Amino acid sequence: MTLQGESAATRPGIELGGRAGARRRGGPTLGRRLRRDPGAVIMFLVLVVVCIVMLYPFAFMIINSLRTETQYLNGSGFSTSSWSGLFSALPVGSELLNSTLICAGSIAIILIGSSAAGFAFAKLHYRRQNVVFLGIIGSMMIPVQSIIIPEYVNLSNVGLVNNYLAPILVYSALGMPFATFLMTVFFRGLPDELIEAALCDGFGYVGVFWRIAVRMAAPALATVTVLQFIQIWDDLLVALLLLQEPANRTITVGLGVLSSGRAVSIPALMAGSLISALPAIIVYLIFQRYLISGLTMGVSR
Amino acid sequence: MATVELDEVTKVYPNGVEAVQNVSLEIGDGELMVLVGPSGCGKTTVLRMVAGLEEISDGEVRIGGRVVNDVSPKDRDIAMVFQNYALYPHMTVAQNIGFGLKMRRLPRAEVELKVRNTAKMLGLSQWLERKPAQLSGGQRQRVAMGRAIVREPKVFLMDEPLSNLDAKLRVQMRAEVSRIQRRLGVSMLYVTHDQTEAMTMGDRVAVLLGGVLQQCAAPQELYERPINIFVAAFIGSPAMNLYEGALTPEGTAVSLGSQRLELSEEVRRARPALAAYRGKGVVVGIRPEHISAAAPGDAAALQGDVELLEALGSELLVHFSLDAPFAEVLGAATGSGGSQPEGDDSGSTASAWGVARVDSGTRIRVGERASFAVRAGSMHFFDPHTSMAIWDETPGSGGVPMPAS
Ligand SMILES: Nc1ncnc2c1ncn2[C@@H]1O[C@H](COP(=O)(O)OP(=O)(O)OP(=O)(O)O)[C@@H](O)[C@H]1O
Ligand SMILES: [Mg+2]
Repeated sequence: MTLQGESAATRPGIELGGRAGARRRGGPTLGRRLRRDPGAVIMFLVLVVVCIVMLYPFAFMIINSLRTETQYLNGSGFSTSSWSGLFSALPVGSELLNSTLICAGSIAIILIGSSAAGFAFAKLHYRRQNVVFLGIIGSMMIPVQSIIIPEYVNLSNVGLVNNYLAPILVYSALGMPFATFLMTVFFRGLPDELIEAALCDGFGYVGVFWRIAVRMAAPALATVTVLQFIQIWDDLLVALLLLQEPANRTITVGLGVLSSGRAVSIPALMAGSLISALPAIIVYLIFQRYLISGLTMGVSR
Repeated sequence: MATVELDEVTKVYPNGVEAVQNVSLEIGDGELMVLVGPSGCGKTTVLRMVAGLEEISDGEVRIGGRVVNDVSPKDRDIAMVFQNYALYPHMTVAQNIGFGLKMRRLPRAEVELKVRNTAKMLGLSQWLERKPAQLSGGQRQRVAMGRAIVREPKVFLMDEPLSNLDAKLRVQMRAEVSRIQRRLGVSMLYVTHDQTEAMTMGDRVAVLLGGVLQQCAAPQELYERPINIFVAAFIGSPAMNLYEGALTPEGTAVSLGSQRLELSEEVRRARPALAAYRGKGVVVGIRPEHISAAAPGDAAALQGDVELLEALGSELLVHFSLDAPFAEVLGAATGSGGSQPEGDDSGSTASAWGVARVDSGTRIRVGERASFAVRAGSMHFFDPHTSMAIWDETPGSGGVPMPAS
């Protein structure tokens, strides 16, 4: 179940990035390079194989979502009945909306928190800074599974179970350490003089943060957005535990429920998986350009 | 417009480096003060303390009479130009220049007018909508200047703003910066490691070495009366020839290696303190421009083997060898254009170099032994132990401490 979500959204995404990079660099000279360099030929073949491995699940999903149960078992013929079946079995629209709301809320909190914290770690200097920073980095190593039950108890004590706020808070907490780390690294790359010039220009640290640092951090913020979106959108565990009302379900929870029903329709499940994977792919494609420069930032210049 | 006073200012970095020690300096209203010294001597640190970007460990900084030790940069009403310009890359030239005005809540039209006027003054009008990445180095430098000018601050602070430009543009911008400063009448603290820049731009020049202020004076005085060996070697291009010599027992001549330079009555009278060095070692300093090809019968003349000629068009630099030992100069790096070859500055008795700056019409050939006349009245003498110049005070008293080498 979760496996499907992962292979659909995360992996092809990363692969797309790799290909875009290769295309930009290689460009029209690819053929010539292949002829001259035997190493490039091997690399090219490896990449073709990797591509097929990555794209196969997609092809599988698309083809089989367009079949009925029998057609799927026979491996031939096409029909759209599974799609109508999916929409009648699941409130797809409202579940997508729930997923979107939760994703947007968590990412907003993560962006605000991590950029402010990252700026402070990178450009302000105070006592015990490194200790706090190490603490935050260290918390990246805590697995969700180990804290989700106490977290559930906490949230139910304050009456937040079945409230959108519950998963939003948990996702924010889970995503914040890595996002903070990324933002810190990015802000460390900004020249101190830039900050100081703005200080001399009459701004305080808040003004400098908002008018200079954040404006320049677009690639880093995009990177954080994409990585967190993929993670939160695909997550099942937290949403399943904290949103138990059918009306509150996210799309992954909906699909989970669908697949655990008595009569599992594989084609309908494929259709659902496709729908749930699409937003992550779209977000990735929108931010792809920034993402690549964000992940390689500081490498050159 | 305001004065800037540094009162016994000291900076100790958290790692224990004492970058600036007890520097006292006063920049008058509308004055262009240049802070010059070799790399790592603490110039930037001084500037940053005035700007409020660096905490002051000890002492006081006053701007317009107000103590600003604990005032944040935005409330000091200063404008700083950084060595790498630090332009905001995501803003256009117009936005870069106008950014500092945003805090003032001026009407938009007024901001635009000010930005346009500033751009016009700096010849930036046609680049206003460009981003910094699309500008040349010289244009970026102007934008950085514009950002400082537009706010009409009390004080300009500049940290080597021209060092990223090529030589020709540097000379051009040097004049432009002084012109703008004069026109606006704003006090300026200008940092550079280039003594030519310092001498040509400064109303006064402060020479810093190892965090200690050596001398602060008008360029001409710095040139004519350097207070110690370091300042003497740092100011002037090519650098002053400095040798270890000795005063004769009668005190009427100085010996340099195997040669003697007669000191006239007049020369001795201008330097009463020299009398105390009779029969003792002194460091002798002769500027290249005070050495010329000797006419027969010149009183103070040096013999040297011509080793290299450098034609500069209007003048000729003559490098000649001499058997007097070099004097050691603390903080070895001399000013730009110092053409004294490195290598043999250990004070050994091996033959030393000398440089003379003579008229280009002088007939002189490499390899020949030539006679050089020294303008004795312009010679400098220093105490070999304290490094202080020998003029009329008792040597070494109340002088500036040299940093331990
Ligand atoms: N943040 C810092 N922490 C510790 N030591 C520092 C720091 N900044 C500068 N220093 C030290 O203080 C001394 C003076 O540095 P400063 O940057 O003021 O020199 P400078 O005269 O501006 O040199 P340059 O001409 O190379 O710019 C140097 O020895 C330097 O190593
Ligand atoms: Mg510096």
